[in-house]
Amino acid sequence: MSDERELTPAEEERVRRLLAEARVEAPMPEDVVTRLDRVLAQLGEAEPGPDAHVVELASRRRRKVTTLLVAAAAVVAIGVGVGQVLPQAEQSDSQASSDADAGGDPAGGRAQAPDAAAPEGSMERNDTTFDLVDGVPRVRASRFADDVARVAELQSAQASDRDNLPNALQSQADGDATAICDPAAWGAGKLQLVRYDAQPAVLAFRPPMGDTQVVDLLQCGTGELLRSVTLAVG
Amino acid sequence: MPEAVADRGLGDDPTDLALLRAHVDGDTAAFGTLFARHRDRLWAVALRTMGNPEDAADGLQDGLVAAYRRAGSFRGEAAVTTWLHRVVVNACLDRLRAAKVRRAESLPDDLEEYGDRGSTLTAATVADPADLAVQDERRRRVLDALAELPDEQRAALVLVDMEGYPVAEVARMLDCAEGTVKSRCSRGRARLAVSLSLLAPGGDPDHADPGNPADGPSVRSTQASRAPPPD
Repeated sequence: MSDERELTPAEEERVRRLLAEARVEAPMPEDVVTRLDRVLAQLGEAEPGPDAHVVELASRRRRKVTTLLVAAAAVVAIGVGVGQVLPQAEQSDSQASSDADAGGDPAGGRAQAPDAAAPEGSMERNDTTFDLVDGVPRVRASRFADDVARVAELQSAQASDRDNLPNALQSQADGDATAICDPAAWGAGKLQLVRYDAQPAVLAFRPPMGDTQVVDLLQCGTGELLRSVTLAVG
Repeated sequence: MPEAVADRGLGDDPTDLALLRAHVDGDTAAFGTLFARHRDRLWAVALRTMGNPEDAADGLQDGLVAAYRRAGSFRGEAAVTTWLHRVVVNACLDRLRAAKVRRAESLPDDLEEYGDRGSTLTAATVADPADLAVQDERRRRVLDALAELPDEQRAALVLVDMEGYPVAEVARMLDCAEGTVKSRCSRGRARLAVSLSLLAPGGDPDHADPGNPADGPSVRSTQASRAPPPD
């Protein structure tokens, strides 16, 4: 039976009436209102105000760029053993969904952190879903949330590996980063240089808010927000 | 009303545009006031587009953050509320594309989780529990069928048929031509009609096919059998 046949006016009206009857009449639930109010409050605190001093902004930019360079260098070093670093980040969407359904993720985030108790079978890395370009993680538009989750995993791993960075890699990463990403006012949070649509960009991991964390993708040089996603924390 | 909004001379009932401009100018309370004004309708759209309350809240939060940060790029070609819907719907569709949510199983969740927070209108006008049960079942079947549609068709139907926005406005929300919206709605309705068995003679969404085996003889004797009882 074809589902593309044109409906008669009466049939179409009937479908429309059924849809109208199934619309959401209830207001936004209080728990969601509370959560979003909290997000708005955090955004207000994180935003640089219109009265920000030029000197402060400049120094902050320098500080953030330094952070960025260290992050990029750490990514180069970690890239060698990324299969071990990002074990479950490549889990299938259905697996992630099942985890959320099981109640492990109160925010329902599909891009949540891996479960340490995951079976060995889920530890296989899939190079087609995540890779590094010139030592920088690539974030794809079509799998934005998944790729950001993997970068988050990378960030948490790099803290322990940063002290072991070879000097040569550090220098190389510094050169790459300064060549491809101009500074901007990134705002509060942890930064990560990435490639997005073949262009350099910065992921800004905003301070966690309860059990969620906003991650912004910012344009190099301007700090303009390109995309945003919410991750489950913990 | 938040104090900061009043202090900036926006008056007692500032327009959406005034609130958005105040936010861009640094009024820390203006965006919250703007969002609170439209949040219930944005929630409705997010919930029906995403299919379950958890993903709807995530999608709405993505949209909220994006709108907050991109407010400076609003050029005023459309109404502020149209722009807000556009940002939220795009955030939801982004999330659907990225996460490939298992819609068919999770979509009707709101009937259980938020059913008791339903509209006072419904509660006031329908008192018969049997009627409520029929309504809930019909709603569930519609939502199940809606969950099976491609994301773009579902978003168009949510905005046009559920929320009642004009096609031209929905075209701006979805950033596509009016003809595309009409086409998505038309094809989506056709699929729903099939899913809900509306095309069969006497098709009734309130009475799904129970899947019983084929009937026996159509006419049965009303008299007691004269055959000896079975052993």
